[in-house]
Amino acid sequence: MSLMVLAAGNTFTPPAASDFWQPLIGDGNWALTRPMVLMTISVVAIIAVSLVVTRNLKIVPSRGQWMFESVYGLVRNGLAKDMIGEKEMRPFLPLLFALFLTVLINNLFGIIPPVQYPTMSRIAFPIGLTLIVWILYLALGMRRRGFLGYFKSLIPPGMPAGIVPLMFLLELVTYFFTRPVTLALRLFGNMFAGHMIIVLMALGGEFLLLHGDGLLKVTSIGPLAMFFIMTVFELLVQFLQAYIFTLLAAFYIADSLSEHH
Amino acid sequence: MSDEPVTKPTPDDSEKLSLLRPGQWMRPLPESNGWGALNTLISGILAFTLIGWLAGRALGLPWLAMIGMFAGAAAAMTVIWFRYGTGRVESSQMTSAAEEVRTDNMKENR
Repeated sequence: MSLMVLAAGNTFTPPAASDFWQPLIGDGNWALTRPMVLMTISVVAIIAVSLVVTRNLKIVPSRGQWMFESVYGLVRNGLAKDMIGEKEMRPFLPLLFALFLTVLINNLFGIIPPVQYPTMSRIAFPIGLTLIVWILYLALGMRRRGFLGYFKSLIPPGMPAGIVPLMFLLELVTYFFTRPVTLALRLFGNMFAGHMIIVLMALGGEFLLLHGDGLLKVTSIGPLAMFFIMTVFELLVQFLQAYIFTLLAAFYIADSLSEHH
Repeated sequence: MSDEPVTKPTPDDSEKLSLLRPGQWMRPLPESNGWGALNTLISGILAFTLIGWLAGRALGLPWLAMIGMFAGAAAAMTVIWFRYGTGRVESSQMTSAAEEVRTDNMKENR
């Protein structure tokens, strides 16, 4: 098939990782890029909507308040209450809610037509969010149990002496390396790969339709249908990843708060 | 294994459920053990692969990284078995308490 496409006189350039680098103003390390603008827009939008909706709260909620409350309820009751528990969750609710909304809105940007760029497909953004969670759960744990006590608490009580050094090494790596790295990479990888597939289907379908020879144009139905299906699927993934990111953040916080390890 | 005998949960549901509350037990939810076990597995493979790779570079035996990778998986599974395995302290006690509450509820619903 690719030979026939080549015979049409054009070559198809598939999307590459470098396509995600989109500086708007300037170039190099200090460029203002598209994801930077999107992140700023999302943060401003979240703050504005939160302020407007919560300014005039009613017992019988308006449509906007009801929608906002159901998202808040999801984070509060579905994540924080289950993970951290009602007694201690209050101070962490704003963070968890902000994390969930920020990740969700920025993920949704991937399929919202005029924007169509998932901010989290640039690795620095998931790393930034993960650093907040990482520093928070380490600080919480060390404040609860003391600096040395924190390291001691990595081993649950009652373990046989033979397994303790091995377990300590692995738990140390888990708490200080694996947890933050997997948290950031999971979000980045899902957003990057998902968007790549969507772009590939869209570009492939477009190329076959516009540059394909005669009957070859018919084959563009395949990629274009997949473009639609993957977009719907991506909507699910975007929501799921925002949920998982917040869920794990709540889990790590809860883990640092618990006295027994 | 703990020397202390594992205390049997009381038949009272609320007391049993209090075992599940954080601040008292290792994991806030028995289900979240899965995330912990997965992270331990990744940690084990990463740590031992790195050790093997460094040792292999120092000794000129590059295949030590591969050995480290498998050793790491084995080590992680051992740790997971000791930490999350059934019939052990804390997490297993918590899970069995949750399990008992569930079966009790199922009996009541019948």
